[in-house]
Amino acid sequence: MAFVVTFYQTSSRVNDLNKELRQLNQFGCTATDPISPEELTLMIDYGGFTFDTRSNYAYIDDFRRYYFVKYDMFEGAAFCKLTVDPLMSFKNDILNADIIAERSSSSYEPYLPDSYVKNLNISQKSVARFKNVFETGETGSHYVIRIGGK
Amino acid sequence: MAFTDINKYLGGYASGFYKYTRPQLSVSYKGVKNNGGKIGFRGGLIGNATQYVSPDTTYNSLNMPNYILTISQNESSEPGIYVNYINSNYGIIGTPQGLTEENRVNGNLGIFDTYNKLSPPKGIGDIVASGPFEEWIIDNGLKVTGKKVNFYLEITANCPIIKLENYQYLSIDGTMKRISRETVIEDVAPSWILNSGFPSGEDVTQKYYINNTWTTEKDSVTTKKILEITTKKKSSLCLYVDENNTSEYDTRLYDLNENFTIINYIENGEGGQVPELTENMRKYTYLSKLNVVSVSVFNTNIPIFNDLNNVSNYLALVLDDADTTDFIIKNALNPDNVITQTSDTANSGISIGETPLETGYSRNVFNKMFALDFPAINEISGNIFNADTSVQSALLDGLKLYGANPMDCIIDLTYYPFDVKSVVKTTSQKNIFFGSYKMDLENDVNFLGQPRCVINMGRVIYTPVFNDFRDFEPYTQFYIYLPYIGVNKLDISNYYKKAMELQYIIDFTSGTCIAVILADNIIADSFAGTIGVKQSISSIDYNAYSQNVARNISNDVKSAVGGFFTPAVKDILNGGNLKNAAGGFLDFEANIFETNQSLNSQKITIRSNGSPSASMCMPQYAFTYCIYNKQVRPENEKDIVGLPTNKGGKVKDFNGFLKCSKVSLKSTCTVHEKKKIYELLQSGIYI
Repeated sequence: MAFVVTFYQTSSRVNDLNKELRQLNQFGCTATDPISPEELTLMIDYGGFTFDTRSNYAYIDDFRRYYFVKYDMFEGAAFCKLTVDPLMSFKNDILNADIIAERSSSSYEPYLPDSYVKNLNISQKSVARFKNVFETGETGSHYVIRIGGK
Repeated sequence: MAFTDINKYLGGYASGFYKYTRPQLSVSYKGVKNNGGKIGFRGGLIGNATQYVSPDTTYNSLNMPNYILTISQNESSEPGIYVNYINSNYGIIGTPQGLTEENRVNGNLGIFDTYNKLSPPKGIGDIVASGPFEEWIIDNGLKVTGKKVNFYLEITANCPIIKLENYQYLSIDGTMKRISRETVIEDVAPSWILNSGFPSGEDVTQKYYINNTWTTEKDSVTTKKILEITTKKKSSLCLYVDENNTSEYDTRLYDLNENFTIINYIENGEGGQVPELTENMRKYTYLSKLNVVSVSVFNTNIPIFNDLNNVSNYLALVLDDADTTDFIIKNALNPDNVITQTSDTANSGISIGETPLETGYSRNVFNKMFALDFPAINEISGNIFNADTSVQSALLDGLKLYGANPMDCIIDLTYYPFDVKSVVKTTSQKNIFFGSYKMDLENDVNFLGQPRCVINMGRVIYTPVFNDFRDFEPYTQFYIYLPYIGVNKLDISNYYKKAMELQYIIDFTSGTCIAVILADNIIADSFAGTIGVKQSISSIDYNAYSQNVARNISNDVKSAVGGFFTPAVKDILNGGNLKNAAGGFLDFEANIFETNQSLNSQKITIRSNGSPSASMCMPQYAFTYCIYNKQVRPENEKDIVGLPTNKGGKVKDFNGFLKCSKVSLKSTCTVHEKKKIYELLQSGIYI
């Protein structure tokens, strides 16, 4: 089975749905053993082309999947282990997936408790005083007497 | 030629359903001319003028032109002075039909033409006429005969519904000397406005004292309304807002006691000069930038802020961003006080507010209650224990009905820490009956018409600190100290962003009180206590009272010693001297917080005051306090891990970090890949 692998360099996070890619080079490959589209190992030593060691990401159009790349060098040949990145590979499916969000940067509810907020053992206080006051002096206060009689 | 910018509004305007007032602007000049001839001057007003439909139909009459400028020659004793309008440009806006020769002769230089434009009548506040008001010039216009003439020139404006904008007086040329100290705005008769949602005044709950009104100003974009209102009660301020609104607000507070100075200006909720607390900041003008000029809500007590954040917080509470035809200021949001840790301006005395609480009625025909000050009660005591045995004999005769102990006639004597006469309708008299014995007095006694009263202690508003979940328990705790009742914990959710109104209902029969706390005019809490200090008349009274107090202290107060009171207070509870205790009580507020340094170990004890007499040494005002922990919230939390939400939707509806609790994915991927996607979404991805 022949297929083409495109190698990229990316600095995006592993869990970025959209990864920024810089294309490095492409290789045509032929599989001599059964391979899985989710994880495969390639040995690249092809026609004088040299594997670019900046490669950390790849795309195989025949599988319509993106891969994280891990490689080993041995006597001028690169042994690349490709592990599927399902986020990039199925990005459109994921974008249309129905979800219930637990945390979000864009849409959040400030009145839900947040476990990332940690209490300091320091309290503060605010005081609001009602305006009117009782008077305990001779002026401004009164006795009330209840007396039997008409 | 110098210009004098008087920068005052001319006339007045009042919309809605309150009484119309008619201020008048006037300025006077005095001139002297020797040896006859002509004198001239250039003067008048320049600027733009707008006339509005008055709420008072009298001034919208088709038969009544509204003069805005008049020259008169009052107090001129010399003959031969007349006004000659050579080279004159008359100030007028609108069409000039109203400016007749007769008016010119009479010195009426500027007239608004209201005749045609009021048919059909427009609504209150609509513009009748608008345009530039031109400078008028009279060069050599006054011909003077006689050798020496004193004359006066008065420029008056007499239209109640005019706003002159950016206008100036031109100084009077030549010999004219201004004699009025400054532009005088005529004092208008005070009138009352009614706080009602209806023009008819129905549904009135309070009425306010209006001292003056000012003009409105309309243009194609906004309407500004300036209204100065003070309430009759001391320290009551007023806040108003229009019925309809846009999402933009300019809010200004004016201190009219200081030459109409803007003491606070906030444009769209931002910026502004923060006022300092002053004694004369009792009167405000509140100006808003709105489309419709009808006043719909009046509130007393504009809060005084000493921190800009508090201003912003307050406005965020009272101004609704959304367009709505409903009232945009919540009725109850009219706090009396600053919501800070600093104390408010000093207040004294009890101000009794009109209350939504019912005051029940009952009257006891076999005994009566009187309110007395100390001289009166002292006089009664002196009369009873008079050395004149004839008085005692007559008194005893009148008290036969009370059997072996005539003192039983005095059913109760209680001291209350407020002016009873000011909270209950009383009838003053100079005698009092003991049984059938009539005792004449020199001092007044005041017969109580009601056995109970309601005292409004004021309002505060609970201002949230964080505006998020931390404003609630367990992160924030909310307490209230109530004089003669004690400290009680409140459910913060009942008061969140609401106005708290505190009312004391006092029962003169028992001396007990109930403090009712309303949140946005709805009763949210009530607490009972004892405010009347029983005065012992006999040993029986004394024993009963002291036992009762002792029991209260034992049950309530001592349980709070460890958590609340200063050592000095503990001292008096343990039999120490009062002097030490007094010092301790002064530290009452501070001590509350010292003993509650951490919510994690908060020790506030809910307790009653026990003895009303002892409570008199405690703070005589109520206050609320929030205690909340300081917290650390990562600044980049929102970007890295997002903030809590529980919203549903599709992944594409969110941006940035997203962590899902539930996922429903349809995809052609393998089961293993699908499981991995689930795991990633539930641990968080960046979109």
